[in-house]
Amino acid sequence: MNKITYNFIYLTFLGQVNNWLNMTSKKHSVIRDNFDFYNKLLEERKSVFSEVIGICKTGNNANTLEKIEPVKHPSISDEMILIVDVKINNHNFFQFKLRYQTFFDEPFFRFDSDGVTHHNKIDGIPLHLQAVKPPHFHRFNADGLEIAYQTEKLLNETEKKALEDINLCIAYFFQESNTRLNQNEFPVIKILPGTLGFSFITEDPNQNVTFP
Amino acid sequence: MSLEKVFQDIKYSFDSLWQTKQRGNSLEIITPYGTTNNQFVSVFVTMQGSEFIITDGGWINGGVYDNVTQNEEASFLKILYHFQSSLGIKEIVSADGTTYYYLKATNSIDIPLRVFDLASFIQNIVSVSEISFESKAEKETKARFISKANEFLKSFIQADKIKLNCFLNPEKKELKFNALYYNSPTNLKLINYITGSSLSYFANSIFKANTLYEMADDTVYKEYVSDKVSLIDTTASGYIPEKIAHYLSHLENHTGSKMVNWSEKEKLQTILN
Repeated sequence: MNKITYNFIYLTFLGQVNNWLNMTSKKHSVIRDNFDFYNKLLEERKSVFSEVIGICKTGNNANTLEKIEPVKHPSISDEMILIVDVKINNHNFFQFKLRYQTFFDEPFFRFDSDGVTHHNKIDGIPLHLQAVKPPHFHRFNADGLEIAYQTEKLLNETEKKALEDINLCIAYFFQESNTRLNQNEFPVIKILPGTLGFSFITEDPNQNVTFP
Repeated sequence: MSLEKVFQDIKYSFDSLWQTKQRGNSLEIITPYGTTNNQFVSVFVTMQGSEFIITDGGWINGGVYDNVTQNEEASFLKILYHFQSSLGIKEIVSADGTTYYYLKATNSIDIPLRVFDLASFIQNIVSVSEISFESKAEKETKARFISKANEFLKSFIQADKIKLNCFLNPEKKELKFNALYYNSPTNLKLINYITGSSLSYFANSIFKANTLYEMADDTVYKEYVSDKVSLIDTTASGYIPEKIAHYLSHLENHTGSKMVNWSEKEKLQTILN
């Protein structure tokens, strides 16, 4: 029984996570009511156009570097975007987000390399198996509930370690979300291009802070 | 299933939610406390000398919980201060500008209680930050005027002479003004924007300015303040001159504030020089 449940939790979005029902938490009706369109946004081939994504400016949050790239989706004519966020003091802490604001205000698909453990509030699954630690992907299910999931790669310690490299990880994100540069390529991410390229990796969030 | 077995299952499930992750010299503890946006609360335990420090890792202020980080709504701030003072939560701003919330324990026996309180604090603050206390129209009116006014000030003032959305006393994080203009390090002018999408919001904005000026007069900064300037949004739908005139004249007479209508905003260039 537990094994079946476990497989449910970690299925990729191309699997049957869509069928999770009986949720008890916040649901977004716009996604629930247009779930075929939502799947189309995710599953159809999307394109980006920059070979190099240079990230050098802070976004809404002062401690996060952000770059926004246009994305072309075959079924829509207006703007879809890819957002790449990297924490200034920890370049191993990054997020990739796909957003189509005409349809839904928040990103409809995303990857978190680090951060908070997500709670998939789904009846029929033991409580402790509802917790999904990062790295993980986020998507919405047929009820409009945001869920986090890990793939087999993300559960494999060696592969998970390799995906701490933002450039390997963007390629993986592109595969998972069916996004490409040109026919079958992936962009290169450069954090703070034009600088010495020193990589900040502050694993300990309390480091360099004195608590009086 | 007996109810005793049900209880054992609940206890096992809750217990299994506790997880850890070593992060350098800190230990991240993932707790069973959940937020309304479906995140589990993490706290970070570290040693500083002989003391144990339990922190939020700067995650509330960093928006890591997908929470709103620049929430200035009065109702939200009341709730934040309530939880902070009830649970004795301390805060410190790090060199990179991130606010950390934390508790200390000198005796290891007190650590579980500190984790209990800090996790409860994070759970509540992140969850409450999801609530929109003000109407959409009010939020938009405020954001639009702040943006317009900031741009106007920046258009004629040197960057090193003005601080926007800034505390009068940054260390104590007290008395936030829309702008502080520094004529010299010992001569400053306080600037408040007054706006509102309805008569009631507009009146409240005047009252807030009044209180801020009054409180500034009770600080050591009083002798350095040469002017108080209120910039009034004459384009806002809450600006109904005949209904707010007496509030504005009270503000002017009571605090000595200089009043500048947005429709005559060029006057600011004379006042701020």
